[in-house]
Amino acid sequence: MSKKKKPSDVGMNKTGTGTAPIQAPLTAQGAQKTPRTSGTDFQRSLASTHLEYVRGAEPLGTAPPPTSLKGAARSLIDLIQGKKTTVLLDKVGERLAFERTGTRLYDLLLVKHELQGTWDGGPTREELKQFRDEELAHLHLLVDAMTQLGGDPTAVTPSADVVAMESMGIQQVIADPRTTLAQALHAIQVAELADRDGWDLLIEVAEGFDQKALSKQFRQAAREEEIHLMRVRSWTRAHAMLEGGVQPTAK
Amino acid sequence: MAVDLTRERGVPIDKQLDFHWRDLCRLPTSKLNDDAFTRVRIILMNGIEAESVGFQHTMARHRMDLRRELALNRRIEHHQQTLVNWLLPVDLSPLETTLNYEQVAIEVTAHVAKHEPDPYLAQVHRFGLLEDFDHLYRFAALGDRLFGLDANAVLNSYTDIAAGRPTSVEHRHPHDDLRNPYDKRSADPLSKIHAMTILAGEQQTRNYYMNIGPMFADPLARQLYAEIASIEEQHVTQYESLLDPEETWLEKWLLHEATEVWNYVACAQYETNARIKEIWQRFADYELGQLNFVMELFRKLEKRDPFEILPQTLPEPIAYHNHRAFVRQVLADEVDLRAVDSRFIDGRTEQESSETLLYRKQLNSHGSPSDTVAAGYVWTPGTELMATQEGRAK
Repeated sequence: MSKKKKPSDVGMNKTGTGTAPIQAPLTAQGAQKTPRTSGTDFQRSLASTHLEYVRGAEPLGTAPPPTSLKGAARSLIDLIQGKKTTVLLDKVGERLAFERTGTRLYDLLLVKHELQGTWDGGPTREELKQFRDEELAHLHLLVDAMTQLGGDPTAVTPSADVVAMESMGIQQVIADPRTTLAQALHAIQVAELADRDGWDLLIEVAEGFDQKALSKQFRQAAREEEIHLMRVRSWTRAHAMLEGGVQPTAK
Repeated sequence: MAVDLTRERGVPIDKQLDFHWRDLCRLPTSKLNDDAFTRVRIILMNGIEAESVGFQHTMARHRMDLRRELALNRRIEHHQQTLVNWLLPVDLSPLETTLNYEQVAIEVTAHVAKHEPDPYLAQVHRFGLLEDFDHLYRFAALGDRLFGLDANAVLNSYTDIAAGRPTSVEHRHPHDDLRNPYDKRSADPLSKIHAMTILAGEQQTRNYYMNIGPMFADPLARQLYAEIASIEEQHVTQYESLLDPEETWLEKWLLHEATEVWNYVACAQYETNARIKEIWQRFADYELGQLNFVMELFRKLEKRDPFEILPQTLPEPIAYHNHRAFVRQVLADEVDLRAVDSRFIDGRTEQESSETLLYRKQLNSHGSPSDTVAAGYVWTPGTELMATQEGRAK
């Protein structure tokens, strides 16, 4: 039986013009010879089309209403002080959605790890499981935080909606049975990068709202996420170096 | 509000070629702020228009004498479909859109089943209802377990998320999906409109799943879409078989237009978003114009009164509210029903046909995606992960 190909092996990748030495120049020639369509400044047209829509656009959505009297009262007090509690709730909602999806992403990574194995300097099952469990713990922390703040932990906040859209490609890469564990880890690295910054921002916003106890808990979560990012980086780096047969440069 | 079809003229058809791209491509609705029933109406009317366009294409292949009229009417229907379907926003992911598709199937079919005057036809609708109900459950489980998605966020708590007639036992031999058609001479016009509405909805659902199934990377998701798309094809076969094949082309065309008027009027009546309501009202008037156009053709070519086919007043429209109690009752009473030919049997006491049993066994021979994805699944607010004790602070 032939050995399974790796992404770094040469194969029949047909996407570049280099693989069509006869046809590609003909295509280029055809494009040059055919009269150009009437020219307008595309950037300007793009901007003016967008402007038409932006003018009439409502936001993607707005903040959900508080679910408790306590939450409503807090919002009012903050408003009097010139602060908008919904911004804090929105950021909590964003992290919550991220951690919830993140848990499922690590579930998929565990499946891939079981099926494909690892490499020198790559992840162990135990580490992936630990990170998965930490994502879940972060979810519970954020659910409790949202409830404590008088928000609805089942609601999709506007920022949660945005990160869901941002994350769609990440899930597809990890779930695709054709991607390697290294490719899937690259996708989770993108998620962990965004997550790290997301936690930093949440901590800052929470402190701005004097939520000292919460921000302390958020800092602990952020430290764990920092480790996730560091470790994922080291796995993908180790893989790239091993695969390329090169030595890592000293940092 | 009763619509008198003998008097309402709508917008003349030659005034309906007034679309432009900015008109067709409007700002979409809000996934977060718009009501789930707004999405239900958009999805249903996209299906209604798709069916109209498809029907008018098929008719044109058989009626040389009406090609020009069909081409004109169909172009308008196509652009109506564009405007309506483009109201769905991009942040409503394909899977979330799927959840709203199944919500359409449940809530609209429940209304139809409840108000259907013919007991046999009502049974057919209830039978399909419990299958779509189960599909929602399976897709909800998929979303939760693979994406961390809470289906209820787009269902707005209107519709139960629970197992129905298990999808894995819905697979039937094609002959067991064919039902008895209504008799065009004696059937209540509402029965015909009902059948056409649900047929359009199921057909668009099949088409949608066939388009987006391959857009999922996860093999379990791809298998689930393949499985449920297959059931939707069964449903299209079922509902299509309710239509009397003896209806003439023009009778069918008349009924299509009347069905469209009936549906747009209901949408306008119940719509809570003012901007979208205006679209439903505009298109109700367009469909009235198209209906009158076809009525004239009917008079001229069949030399008959269109009101031999059509009701003079439109029947009561779809009530866009949830039907939780009705669905639960049907579930309790009929989840064990199966189908053999055009009959419904109690699966606990009577066996399905050997053809169906063989067919199902073959399809499920490498496992059942719908059983796998939803094994032990109970919908929980905020997803299954919220209910787990794992990871909770001690």
